[in-house]
Amino acid sequence: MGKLYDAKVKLEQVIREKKLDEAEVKGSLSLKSGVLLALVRPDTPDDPAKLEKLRAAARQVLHAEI
Amino acid sequence: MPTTIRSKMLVVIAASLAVGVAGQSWYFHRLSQEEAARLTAESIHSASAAFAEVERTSTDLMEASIAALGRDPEVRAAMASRDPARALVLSQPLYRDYRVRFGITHWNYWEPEPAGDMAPKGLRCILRVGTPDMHGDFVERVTLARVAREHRMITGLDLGYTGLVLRVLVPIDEDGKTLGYLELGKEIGGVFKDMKKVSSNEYGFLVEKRHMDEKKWTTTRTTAGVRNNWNDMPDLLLIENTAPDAEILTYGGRIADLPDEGRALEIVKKDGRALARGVFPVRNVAGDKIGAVFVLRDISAVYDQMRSARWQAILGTTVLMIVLGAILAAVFHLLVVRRLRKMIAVANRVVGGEFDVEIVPSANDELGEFETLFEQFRILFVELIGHAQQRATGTADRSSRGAR
Repeated sequence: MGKLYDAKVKLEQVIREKKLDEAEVKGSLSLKSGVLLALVRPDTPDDPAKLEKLRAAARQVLHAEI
Repeated sequence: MPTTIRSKMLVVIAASLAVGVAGQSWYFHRLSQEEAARLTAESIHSASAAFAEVERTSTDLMEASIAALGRDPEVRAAMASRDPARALVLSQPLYRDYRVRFGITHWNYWEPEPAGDMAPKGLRCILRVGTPDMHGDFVERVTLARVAREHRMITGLDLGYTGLVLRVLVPIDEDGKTLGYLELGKEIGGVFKDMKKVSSNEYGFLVEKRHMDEKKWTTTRTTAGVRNNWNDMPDLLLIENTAPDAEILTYGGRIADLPDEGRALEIVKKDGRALARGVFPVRNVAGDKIGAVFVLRDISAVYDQMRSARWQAILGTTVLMIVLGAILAAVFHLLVVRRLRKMIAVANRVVGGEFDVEIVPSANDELGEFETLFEQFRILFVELIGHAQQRATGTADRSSRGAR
């Protein structure tokens, strides 16, 4: 439990570090991965498939590994 | 392959431009061809009319002259005597006058056909005033055969060994007995030079070789000091030419196949000039197509003008289409692309968590309707997300209370 949420936190960190538009980037990540980040909470059950899709979207949008 | 609507539109505009230019090029090419065909047809018509007019006036002149000569007692007596020397003395001064003033080149005396010969093919010559040394020979010729058979004035074109001759023949009778036949003739090769002076066109007269004698033609050319052109074409021979270059008058078709009204041929490019070629057939006294008059009209000026107009039109259309394409692309960008991008950006932000970004319809058109619909979707989406978050928060609270 929490890996998806951890990924979301890491993404938010990268966005802040890169000083990007959070809403826009999170929207792109959500649309590309199919994971609605707004609904990812600490207790969101882990889903390896969703996590992998989110990582792929992060590579594509942020050029970052999470 | 282009992936944006704008690039697809640009491809469509470029393709339309190419098609437009190709279409316009084809249209102007066709116009040029039609104009060339019109000019050629006009040249053929005017040349044919001029040729017919020369034939008519020359015939009228010779008919009047031969009628007067036929009534002259001295001419009749000379004919009856069949004495070339007597006929020559009598005829030569007047012949010289006729030749200088009217271009009459032939004045011939012919013996009557042998008694009982109902279908003579020709007649025996008493005297050729123009070439007095040649006499006494039997000549087979359509005009001679017809005047002997029909016993009336015969007029028409006849192809001799040296060229085309317009001939007028009459029988000379005395007390119901034929004394002989009188002939006046005019070589009408010179008419083409006169026609050239008036029209500036070039003319050539081609005949089928089977009507000509190669040896006599070769002798004639050698005597005149000009190149023997007998072998220039397989079946046809150029016997008159006003053009400096005989090559542009070559023809591979059959004279018998030419329609009486003539035919426009191709446009010949020579020494930077564009020459429209046309041809019309010439019939002899028997009605056979024995030759053809070629007309060459210099249409370089018209041709250049048409070509220049063609390029100007193509250039103008290209510029116009590029400007129109740019305007269309800009308008399309403003009306469609920009609004779509705005909606995509809003969708992105809403999904990214900025739920209060609204989409305001930017115009009362199809995309405006879509923007309204999209805004309604956004509101529903935000509500759904709100409910989902509330459920998730409630579940978490209950879990944490349960844990305590």
